Amino acid sequence: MSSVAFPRSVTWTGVALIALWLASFGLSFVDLGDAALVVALVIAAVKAVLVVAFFMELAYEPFPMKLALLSAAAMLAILIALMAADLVTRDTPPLLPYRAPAPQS
Amino acid sequence: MTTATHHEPAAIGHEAPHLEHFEDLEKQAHASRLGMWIFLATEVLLFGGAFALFASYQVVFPEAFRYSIHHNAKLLGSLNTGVLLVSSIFVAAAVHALRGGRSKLAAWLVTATMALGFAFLGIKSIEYSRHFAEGIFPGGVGSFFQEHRGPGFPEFWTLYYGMTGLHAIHVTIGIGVLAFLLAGIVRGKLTHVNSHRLDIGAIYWHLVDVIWIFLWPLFYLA
Amino acid sequence: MTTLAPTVPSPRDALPKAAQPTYLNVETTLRSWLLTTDHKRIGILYLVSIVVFFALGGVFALAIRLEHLTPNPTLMDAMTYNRMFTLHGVVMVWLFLIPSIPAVFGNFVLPIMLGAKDVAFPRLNLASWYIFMAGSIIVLVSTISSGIDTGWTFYPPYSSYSNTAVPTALFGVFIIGFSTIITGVNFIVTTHTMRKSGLRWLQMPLLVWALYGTSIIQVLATPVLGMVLLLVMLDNGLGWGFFNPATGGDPVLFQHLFWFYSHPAVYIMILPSMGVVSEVVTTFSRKNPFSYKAIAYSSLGIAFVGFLTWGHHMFVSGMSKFDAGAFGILSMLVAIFSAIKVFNWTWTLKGGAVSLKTPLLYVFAFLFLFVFGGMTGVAVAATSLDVHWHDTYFVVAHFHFIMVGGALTGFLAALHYWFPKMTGKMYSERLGLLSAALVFAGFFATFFPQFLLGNAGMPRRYFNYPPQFQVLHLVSTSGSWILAAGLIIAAIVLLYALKWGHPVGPNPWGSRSFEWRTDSPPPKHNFHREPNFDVGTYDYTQPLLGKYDDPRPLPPLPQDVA
Repeated sequence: MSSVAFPRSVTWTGVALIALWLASFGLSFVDLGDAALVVALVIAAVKAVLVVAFFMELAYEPFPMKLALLSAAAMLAILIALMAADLVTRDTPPLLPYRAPAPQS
Repeated sequence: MTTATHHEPAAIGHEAPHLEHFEDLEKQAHASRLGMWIFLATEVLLFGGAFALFASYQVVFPEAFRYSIHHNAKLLGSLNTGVLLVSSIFVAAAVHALRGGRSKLAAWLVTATMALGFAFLGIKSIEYSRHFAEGIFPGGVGSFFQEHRGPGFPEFWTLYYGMTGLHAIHVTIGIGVLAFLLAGIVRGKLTHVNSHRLDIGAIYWHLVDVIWIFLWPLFYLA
Repeated sequence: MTTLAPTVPSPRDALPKAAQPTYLNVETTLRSWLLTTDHKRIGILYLVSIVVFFALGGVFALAIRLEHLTPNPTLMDAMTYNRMFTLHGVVMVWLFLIPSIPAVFGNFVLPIMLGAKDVAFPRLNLASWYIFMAGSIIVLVSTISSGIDTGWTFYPPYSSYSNTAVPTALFGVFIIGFSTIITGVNFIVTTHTMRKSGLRWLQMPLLVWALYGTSIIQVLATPVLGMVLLLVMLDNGLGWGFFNPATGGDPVLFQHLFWFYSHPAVYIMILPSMGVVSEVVTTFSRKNPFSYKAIAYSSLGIAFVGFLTWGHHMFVSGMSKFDAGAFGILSMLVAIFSAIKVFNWTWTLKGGAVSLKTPLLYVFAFLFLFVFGGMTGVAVAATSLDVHWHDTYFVVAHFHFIMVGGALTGFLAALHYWFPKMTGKMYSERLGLLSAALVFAGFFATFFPQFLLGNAGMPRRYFNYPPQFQVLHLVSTSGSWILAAGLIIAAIVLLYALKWGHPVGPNPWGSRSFEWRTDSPPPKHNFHREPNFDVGTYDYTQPLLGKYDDPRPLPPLPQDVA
């Protein structure tokens, strides 16, 4: 009876999501240094893919619908990449503080 | 000229199996799902703009961000993650229950989803009031920012209120959408025949969950 | 108005009018218009509203140009001047250019071109018009209350503390964004799901491809603008100072997010125009396009590359040199796709039997001005040159060549091209040609001197200027009045034709495109019966069946060859 109402994919996705939630919470108490953010985001990405694929059933949809989400993700990646590239490679601005005396050369 | 040739689709009402300009219900369901997914793409980029700002300010002020994340209400935030995850499981189950023709079960599952949505908002407001008590307000206002003067603190907490607030608005809209669909199920207008309408509402609810899945590690964990 | 080209009446015209209700006369009450879900009527609603906004923006533009008649204050004080150019930009960009072709002509012809009865979500489509009007009214309220003086770009930190009605205006623009998104979603879903069965992607009219590319940009870029405008709104309204350097904020981040939308927004304006050009060029040269696929795919190419170029607005903002170089190179890629289109159109014309009608004259104006604007665009994409030209009249002239020379002439070409389809009436061809010529001449006289001014160092948005610039400013101001005269004549010609124009048959231009295979004006659900799309949309080698055929025999009559 329950097999009619709830396909396996939903049950297992639910179990996996709870497990990943607990794992991420547990790992946050471990000092991973700079890797902590990466690990947390990777776990988040896995969770998001599970929800999108099996709860939102994108895995069973035709390609144009997948493309909608993929292109949104691609544009977001472009936005963040080119914005962050600016901040990472920016020189210290050659500006003097407000009303500072002119530099003597 | 005359209104004699007036044929509005609305005149036929909800009894019609599908809207007049579609060939059949299957095409209509497909169109509405595609429309929803494209709308979700816009939602991704709406939050995406804020995520880009978060990433940029984190690159510039790593110390202030690390300190602020540590200061944030980790337990409440993590609890809320669980609440939303379970609500997502419930609404996914509701979709399958309705498809299987078990309307009553579907109605209960949607009700549970909405209840968890309210629980999320309740926990969120406890969290906000706790931050207000600590003197943290958006825009770098409050005693907290007197003690922590460096740049980066106002940015973090403004983004925190802005992004979680926008997310809370989405949760509220999601609850409204689910309430509307629940009314349809209870009144017998939304059944396994046109269950794609619940799909649409559920997909929106899941998206709200997915956004929180990313907000949680950024603001509370790492 | 006796100068109409004689049109052979089709058999349809012999029927009594009452026997063929059209979308216009099926219901005539105001209520039936305000609650319509018919995509054609929604297109007309948009047309009427944006033309009003365009006139308003035009008045602001004329006021700005009049102010520059003399080097010193002429008409207004400096603060009024600041408000004028800001409002001119805001109204023209968000109330006119963004919705122009997609919301008006896209709404009107896209479903017909696909053989559909309507767009996928008709009620949302109507909602988009109401949302647009609500946002526009809020913007106009801000103009009446205290105006805005930040420039249409709303750059912080100034926009964060300007005392003018910045939050109101931003809220209006924010709301208009929703209507843009709804239109985009509607067009994408319509193109995917509502095509007549058997109509494949590569058989669609090229305007559909252009609108599809436009919709992708609308859907993916607009939300980012919404987010950033919301932040500035809160900054100004509540004093958050999120982009204020005094508290560690970075105004350059605003510019990143703003231009992530606003640069692709240029393609929201120009891509539909390109679609119109493809339709007009093939119809009036009676020939298939030189390369259908190249034009179709380059529309998607522009839509994609448009997202990679936003940084070229920020070369002097303090952005890193690495990013500036990357954006400079990426920006030049747009020229490749644009050039593919321009070469295709000219080659289409070359082998065709060209008949120079008003829409085609506007398209010639488009080609000339767009190439001019595009070439100067490649020049300003080079960082070394842009440092000199940035924030001068050179840039003002460049983007007006694209936005007015490209998007506006495309809009006017579309208006004249589909006017018979929308109304069933024909305007005076000779006066149409005259107005098109005046628009072109006036535009060129207005903006060409601005290239010279900018190159000589005249900064944009300045109230006064040194006396040696007066001659060029004088030419520019005179040009603006020629442009206005052309537009006013065009308006009179079309309004006159609306009432007294010669009735036309279904296909006065002899086009093969699908929207001409139904009556003019079309019936409520676009086609009386299942439309026949057997003959391709650019196939001029065989006659159409029945009454929708070209009244003229094939091949074209000699007098049609200009």
